[in-house]
Order: sequence, then structure tokens, then C-alpha cells
Amino acid sequence: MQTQRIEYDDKIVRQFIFASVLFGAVGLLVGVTIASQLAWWQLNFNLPWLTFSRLRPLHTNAVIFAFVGNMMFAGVYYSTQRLTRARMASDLLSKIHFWGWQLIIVAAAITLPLGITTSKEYAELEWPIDIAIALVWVVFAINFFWTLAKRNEKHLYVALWFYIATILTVAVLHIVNSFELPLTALKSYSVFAGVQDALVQWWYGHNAVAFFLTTPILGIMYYFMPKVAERPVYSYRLSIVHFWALVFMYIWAGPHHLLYTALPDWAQSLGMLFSLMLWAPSWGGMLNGLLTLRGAWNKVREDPVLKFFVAGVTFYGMSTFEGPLLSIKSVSALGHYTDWIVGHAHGGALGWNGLMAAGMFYWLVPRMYGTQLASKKAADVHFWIATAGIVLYMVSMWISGVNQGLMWQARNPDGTLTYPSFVETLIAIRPMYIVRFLGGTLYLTGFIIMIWNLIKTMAGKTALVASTEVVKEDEKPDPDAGTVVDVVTGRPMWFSIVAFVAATAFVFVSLVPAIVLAVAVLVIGEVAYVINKKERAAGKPSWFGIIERRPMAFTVLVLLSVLIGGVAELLPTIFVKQAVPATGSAQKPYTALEQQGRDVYTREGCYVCHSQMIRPMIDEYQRYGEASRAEEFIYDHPFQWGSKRTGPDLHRIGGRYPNLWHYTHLMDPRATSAGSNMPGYPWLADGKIDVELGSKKLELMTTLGVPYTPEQITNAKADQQLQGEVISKDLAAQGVTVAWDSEMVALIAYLQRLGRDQGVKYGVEPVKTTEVAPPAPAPEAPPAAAPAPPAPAAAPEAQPAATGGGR
Amino acid sequence: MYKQFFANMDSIALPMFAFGLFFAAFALMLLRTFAWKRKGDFDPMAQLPLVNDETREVKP
Repeated sequence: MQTQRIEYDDKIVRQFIFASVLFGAVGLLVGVTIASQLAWWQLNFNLPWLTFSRLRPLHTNAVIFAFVGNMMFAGVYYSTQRLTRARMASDLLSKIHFWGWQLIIVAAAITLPLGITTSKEYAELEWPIDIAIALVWVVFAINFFWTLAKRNEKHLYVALWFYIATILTVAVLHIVNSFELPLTALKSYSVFAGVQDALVQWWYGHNAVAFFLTTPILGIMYYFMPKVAERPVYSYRLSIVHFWALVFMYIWAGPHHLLYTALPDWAQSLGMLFSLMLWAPSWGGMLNGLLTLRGAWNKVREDPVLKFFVAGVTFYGMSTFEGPLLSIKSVSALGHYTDWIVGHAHGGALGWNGLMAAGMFYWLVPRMYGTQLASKKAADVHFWIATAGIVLYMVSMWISGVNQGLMWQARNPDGTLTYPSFVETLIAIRPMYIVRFLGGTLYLTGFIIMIWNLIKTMAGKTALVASTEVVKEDEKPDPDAGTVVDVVTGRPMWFSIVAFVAATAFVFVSLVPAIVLAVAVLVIGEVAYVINKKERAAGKPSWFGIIERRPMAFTVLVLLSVLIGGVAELLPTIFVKQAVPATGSAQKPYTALEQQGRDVYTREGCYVCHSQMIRPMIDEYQRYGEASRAEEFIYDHPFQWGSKRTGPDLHRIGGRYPNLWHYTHLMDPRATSAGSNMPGYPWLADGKIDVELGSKKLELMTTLGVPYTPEQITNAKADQQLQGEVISKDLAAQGVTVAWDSEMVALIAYLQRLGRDQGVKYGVEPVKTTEVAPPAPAPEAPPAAAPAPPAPAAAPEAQPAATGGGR
Repeated sequence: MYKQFFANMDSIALPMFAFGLFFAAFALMLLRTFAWKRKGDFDPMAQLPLVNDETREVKP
């Protein structure tokens, strides 16, 4: 036995804190900017890269991966070293992790405003950055598990369990959701299509919230709350239940993002039920955190750190109550696609993540510089401003969301829609957009106060080096540690396998054998319980005691828990053919020009505000048309269902309006829809598609299973010109000059195709044009100097409302 | 038999079965965790964040 001095690496912690604070301010500023654009559409100043639909992914990525990500890494690096009583295994890997992650963030900040995106929410980054994320994550994982392997503390504290689950699950989610085929260095297509892509995406999207924004922060809560309160966690046993229940159940809940869509009903129901079950472990964890303060509530009044932690954990409770509530199908029918979801997401992000981060920074920074916080009063001001900001934000979004949902559904006694024009509902909620902007601004103000406070705390101080003395045990085996054989042959392991096999077999056998099986399982369980009790009385270590000291065994069990849910939900939809009916004639592949237009649609981020998924509800039928069916999306790589309707659904917009209407609407949305807050996209009229790339796109789509013929691939260029000229000549007949190979024409071609399963037969059956426009061949385009939007003669509001004219 | 089983059940049946199964497992786990007198097993672990034996100093 010998003692050894361990020096902790706190430099990496300080670096991650610095990055988190810096990118947090940027992410919040972008959030406030785009919130202002929803209230005042002019604030993009007609710049493509400053437009809402391109900046919104930057905002979400900055807040999730840059702000919370860096904060999480700071907390993980600090607490892991203390809990294992070991320095991080490799300083080099720590540095690669830090700088690699910051490079990824910078790459995101450059590519997203430029429209380089996969269009999959919270996974918008293109394939080279995806690969970089995977590599940096592996570096982090190696460093973390290596540290666990060389630890000087035999027990693995519960916070470390949450970190293990985070590292494993995020890796699985990221890799599966990033299966894509590259077209160019900065463009790829998802290998999944339609329903499958939607399910994989929201399995990822939901669990990014679970395993990136929740589990690591819970680990941080379990470490820092007891530390600040100076008392152990209220119930360590409850933390065990919290961990396993959360890890197992969370992964199943993703389909609650797709209720009433074309996703198979069984998957929707499964997602809803697991979401409801999540109430129990989530609230168990929240209560465990809050009750840790038993007998120390007086400290909350004095200590700003505890104020932030208590409020953060309370917001966790509120969000995890609201989430399952919104997963109930009847509630989702009202809340989905509305601002209610936005309010819910920000309750978690600003309340849970943001306040926990602030609490951690206020606690860590003074300690790492051997000083006191510069101003407790400023921290208090930050707390109250931030809380007021969150309340304003959430309440305004609740009001806005419920208002939207009710107005969309409202019908007159004769059955027609009360608010047939979508813009009516938008105008009604505009005041709430202004309140939301104020709430966000308040929160950002508090954040800036925190930055000032932290800088003042560090000013003129030198960072301290923390070290501790550890006793190195002699290299003899721990009698309680058990072996791998003990882990695999443990009774709980075998009992779980037997119970699982029995539950599965129950489906395939007749009633009597099923009852026999059930009884046998109960008897086996009872015998195992009795034997176990005797062995524990005799002083033998429990199975749990063996597991919790073995990171590898623990990791395998966590991986199994996570994979069961993922496999059960994803595989049937991907591999069982009947899961997505594909009748052959259900959807014709997009033409080369439509595919080009689709790429413009994803580049501009139209999916951020427009869904392409009509739910089977009477009001949606009246407003948008027939409910969307799974087979209509079999060639959609990637899917474009969206998750929010700031504007109307577009799935069946094809053929509803003339080309001129689309042109006018994209140039100046208010010319066709007075009161709209959509920004104009005038740059599409000047931008050119890469015509040469058309055939390459079809070829790649063929690899993904889209049935293009060799002729279609060879003739892609000529086909694009043929189809583009039909549209440009039609527009020319209306006095608008726009090139056939412009992005505008390609986007119009795509929009005119939407919802028309059989495709548009160009040259044979021209797309529906203006009532006065003759079919092709159209006359030569007049030499118009500038494509000024014509008078809004074709305003959709003039169309019959009850038949869906009210876009 | 399994074809008949799936053909005859409502679409909500399987999720409800899963809900019942996992709720029962959850309740059992909760009972087991709290009913057993295993305080001694967990106390050392619960104290881990409170260990505060590190020294902090300025290093050149």
C-alpha cells in the first residue's frame, strides 16, 4: 500500500466553461434575433443567411451542442476526476476533444446560415461534420472509460452511470440517424425515406433531448446538488431506480413526435404509453434532487447557486410533466405543430439546462480561482431576470399555442372553418410573439450579467491547481468485486432472460403452456429470491454490488437497455414490408427538376415553418385536403414532414395555385397573403441550379432504391430544361422573366408536384397555370427589366374557404 | 396461433400489455429497492461527492 499525489486537470474544465459561456451568448442572441423576425419579418434585411429558416437550425445547434454540450463536458470532466479520484487518463485526448468540438461548432456556424443542411432537426450538419462528431465523441469516450479503468475509488457513483448512458446512447443515436449517402463534399441524402426516415429522426430527436440534454445534466445534479447542499443525495436507492427506469423507457418514447401522422398506429401508441410511464422516473429524480435539500432550505435564500439549482430542477419537473401530457393523443391533436411545443422545449432548455449551467458556473469558477463570487447581488439579479424571462416565454407560447390549435380546429355550425385563412390565426398570435421576444431578451440580459460576474470573479486571479492524495491498494483482487463469470451467471441476469423468453413465447404458444410458463417464471423468481437472501445473510456480495464496480459490465447492460427499445421500434418499420404500404403506383419518383427544387426547399429550411403531413382530422381535411398516407413518401430522402406550422401545411399544395402565385408569394409573401410574417426569398429568382448535377442526383437516388430508368438519368439535363421552360414560359406570359434553370423555377416545380402522387405530366398535361395562361408552347418571354411582383390579383384568400383556399 | 393472436387484437392491446408488464416491473423494482434493508450497501456511495480532501494552490 502506498500513497500518491493526484493532480486534477482543471484547465480542461475552465476551457469548456469558457466555450459554453461564449457560445451560450451567441446561441441566445441568435434565438432573440429569430424571435424578433417572427414578430417583425423585415428584420432579416433581405439577407439569405440572416433569414429565420436558415438561422433557426443554427440557434438550436448552438444552444444544444455548443452551450449545453460544453457545459456538460465541463461538469463531466470536473466531477469524473473527483469521483474516480484520478486525473483524466490522457491530457492529449482531452485537448483533442475540446478543440475538435469547438471546430465542429465553428463549422456549424458557417455551414448552417449558408443553407448547407440535411434538414433533419437537431442533426442538420452535413456528412463531413457528422463524421467529425463521431470521431470526437469516440475520443471523449476513450478518455472517459480509460479514466474509469484507472480510477482509485472502487465504487462508481450514480453520476458516472448517467455519463456512461450519455456517451453510449448519443453514439448509437448519432450514427444511426446519420446514415446518409454523399452527393458532393457538402450534400448528402438520408438512406431512410418517408415514414422510416421520420421514425429514425424522431427516435434520434427525442433521445437527443433525453441523452444529451437530460441524463448528463442529471449526473451533474447528482454530483453538484449534494456538494452545494453539503449533504448526501436524499435517496441513493431512488437514484438507482431513477437511472434504470429512465434509461430503459426514454428510448421508446420518440414516436410521440409523430402522433396522428402516417406512422403505423402501433408505433404511435407505444410512443405515447412509454411517454406516460416516464412520468414516474422523471418525477422520482426531481424529488430526489429537491429533497436533497431537506433541512437546508434556509440556504436557498442566501446562496445563489442553490437558487439556480432548485429552480432548474423544478423546471425539469415541469417539463417532464408537460412532455408526457403532450404525448397523450388527444392533447397532441391540439398542441402539435403549435407554439405550445416551442414553449415546452424552452421550459426545458432555458429552465432546466440554462439554470443548472448557471448554478454550476457560479459554484465552479470561484473555487477554481480560490476566491468568492464577485457579486452575489448580481447573481440574484440574474436569477430573477432569467426566471421572469422564462415565465414570459413559456406563458406567451402556451397562450399562442392553445390559441392556434383552437383556431385551426374551430368550425361554424354549418361545418365550415371559422378561420379559413391561415393568416388569420397568425395575426391573432402576433402579440404573443412580441412577448416571447421580450422574454428571450430578458433571459439574454441575465446571461450577460452572469458573464460580467464571472469575468470580474476571475479578474486578476490565477487559476489554482487542485490535487489530492490517494492510497494505492496493493494489486490483490477485491473479494467483493466478483468476476465476469459472476456477472453473466448472476441470478438477476438469468431471471431476466428467462422472463423475457417467457414473455415472448407467450405470444406463440397456446393458453395452457402460456400459463405453465408464467407460473414457472414466478417459481424461479421466488427460489432465486430465497437463495439470494440466504447468501446475502452469509456475507456474499450482491449482484448489484458486483456490477456497479465493473464499468464494462455496467456499460454492456446499459447498452442492452437502450437497444431493446430502439430495435423494437425501428426494425419492424424498416424491414417489415407491410409496415409502409408501397403499392407501386402510390408515388412516382420526382423529376430531375423537382428533385433540384426539393433541394432548394431543404436548403432554405422551409420545413422549419411548413409541415408536409396532413393529419386525419376534419378541420385539416377542410383546410389542406385528404390526410397524408405512408405510401406517398416512399421516395422522400429525407422526409420533410416538419414539426411546426408557422405557415400552413404544404403536402397537397401542388396544382392548387398558378405558377405566378408561387412566384409572387416567394418574392413578397404579403402580396398574396396580407399579414403573413414569412420573409421574402427574392434571391431564388437570381440563383441558378446546377443542371449538370441533376443526373448525378437521380443516380444516387437509384442507389437508395428510387426506381429511375437509365434513360431518365441520361436525359436528366434535357428533362430539366423541358420542364423548366414550361414554367418559365408560363411566367413570361404573365410578364415575369425568370430563367428556366433558376432556383425559383425549380422550387415552383417541386411545390407544384407536392401531393400529386402520379407526378405532373409535363408536355402532355401541363401543370395547372393561371386561368388566362395558354398551355405550352407559351409565347416568348417579354423583356421585363426586373421581376417585380405583379398585383395580388390571384390572392388565395379570394378562393372558397371551405375547400382549403385559406392558406 | 400467433397469427390469430395478432389478427384478433386491437391495435391498442399490445401497447397496453407492454404498459402493464413494464409498470409491474417498475413497481416490483421500486418495492424491492425500498423494502430491503440495504442502507449499508449504499451509504458509502452516497457520500462520495462529499469527500473533500483536495488541496488547491497556485503553481508557477
